[in-house]
Amino acid sequence: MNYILEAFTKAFRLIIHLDRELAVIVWTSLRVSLISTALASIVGVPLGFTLAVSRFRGKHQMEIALNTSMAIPTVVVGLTIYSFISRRGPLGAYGLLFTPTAMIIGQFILATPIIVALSLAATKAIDARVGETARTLGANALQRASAILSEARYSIVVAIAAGFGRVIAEVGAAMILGGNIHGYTRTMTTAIALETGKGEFSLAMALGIILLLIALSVNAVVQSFRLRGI
Amino acid sequence: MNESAAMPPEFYKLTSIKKSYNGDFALDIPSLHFARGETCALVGPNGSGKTTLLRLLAFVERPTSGEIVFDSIPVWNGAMNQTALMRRVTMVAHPPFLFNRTVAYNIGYGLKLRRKSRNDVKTKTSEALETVGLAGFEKRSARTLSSGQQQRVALARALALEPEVLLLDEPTASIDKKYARDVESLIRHLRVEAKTTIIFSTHNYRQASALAHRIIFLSNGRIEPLPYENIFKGIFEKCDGRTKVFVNETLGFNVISEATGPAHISIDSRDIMLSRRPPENGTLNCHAGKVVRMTLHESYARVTVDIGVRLSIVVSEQVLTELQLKLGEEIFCVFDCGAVRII
Repeated sequence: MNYILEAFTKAFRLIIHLDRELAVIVWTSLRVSLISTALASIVGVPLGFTLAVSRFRGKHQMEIALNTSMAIPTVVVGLTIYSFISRRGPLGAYGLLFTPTAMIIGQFILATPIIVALSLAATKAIDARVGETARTLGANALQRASAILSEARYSIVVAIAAGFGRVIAEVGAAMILGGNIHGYTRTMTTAIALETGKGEFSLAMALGIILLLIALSVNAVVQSFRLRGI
Repeated sequence: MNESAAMPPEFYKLTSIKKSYNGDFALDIPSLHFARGETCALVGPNGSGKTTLLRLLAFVERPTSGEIVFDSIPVWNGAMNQTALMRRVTMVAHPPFLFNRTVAYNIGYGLKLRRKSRNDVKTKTSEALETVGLAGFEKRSARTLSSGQQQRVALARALALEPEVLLLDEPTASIDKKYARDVESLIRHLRVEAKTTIIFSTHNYRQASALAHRIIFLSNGRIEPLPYENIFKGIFEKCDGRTKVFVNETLGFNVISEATGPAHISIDSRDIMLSRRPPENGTLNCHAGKVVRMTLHESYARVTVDIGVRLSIVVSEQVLTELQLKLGEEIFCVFDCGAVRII
């Protein structure tokens, strides 16, 4: 029991003293996850909206596939991308393996289905009269889409937060595609896995606490949007 | 109602309009015109097609077949700029839908789409809110308002745009009597001052006859002859053992009814006779008045006589020739107690 308390104490000390190694790991994690979430949002929100408002054969099956893809194991995504960007792979010449770019690609693929599926559900849940009202007030097609998305804004923010939550906490793709290189591709989750393996609980614990704090902050921001009626 | 005769025709022209939903017939209108500046009431029971017609006029829905021409522009032809056309027409639906934002956002939305300046948006928003009796409501969340307040915000949102055509689906349905009267005054104001073309649906015949130049009666998706004419609001009272309905302080009609209190009545224009002398039968309703309007049709004439309220009377061409009626002359309007119907 003592070693757990000792790990906690050391972890808080690392956080309070802004340990450099800790800061680099947190920054790498945040940078990779924020970029991949932003890219996934740029693609996922409009795609989810378009799928929700359009009618085509096989739409129901596509929704099932999308919902299923939200649960794809991160290591499977890591392995698939790995096969493409490893030296022997078709994109091997670009030298992407074990770079933050490779991690961003992996996380983009993990976050996109979540953001698409939740944006689709958010748009479908919006009252059909939103678009119609905007239309009677003189909105063109783009302005109507904007009105619908604006009405679904809380759910869209939740969709983006869920995508971010998925990638900031994932370890499989980051480990396979980033290679856990110290000071370059080491993220919070890959560092936790490594440090735990080495028996260095204090750094792992500190990173775990920061990860929880980030999750808490994201939820607090989402909640504040709702409460302030933005 | 006859004012429309002086209006330029065919601001809206509907020809062979049919509308169905998933094969279920909803509307069948062979021909219908609306004049610029006209105020027209659509009256009919639930499911008669009033809302469907309004939605077609708002260009929200496309007819299954037929043609709509608005201000000489065929509406559903591929070449037209639909957004530009829609910005000339605004519809207030029932129940109204407000965006989940502030009242000011809702009212300013259409103005911003029209690229009005920030000051303009602010001024017009305040003015529109004041018009509907909601001054100072700008920052309130639209969804927290009562249904009556939401109805008024929706009306303010439409008014702020100053549209050429205002389509109102049951504009006083969910608001209390005081504000319903305000909305009616507003419609009168728009009709007289702003010359806005207003088409509204209502279940209330009194409201329709009081506000509109013309009433269109819809039943089962088709335009039918209006079942009621000469609609008045009156109060039933017992006088000398008889029941009378007073439509103003002094004018009362004998009726066959045991009703008491306020009610709406109608008198069929074909049940009223015109006479130079009062009849000898004292049980009949007989009221002297002045001829204020005469409209000749192919086989009949419609005469309006002011007896304290305006009565519209249909007479044959022969009767008109015999009576030698002239505008401004005094004439007796005679009708049986049974001609007065409670609606």
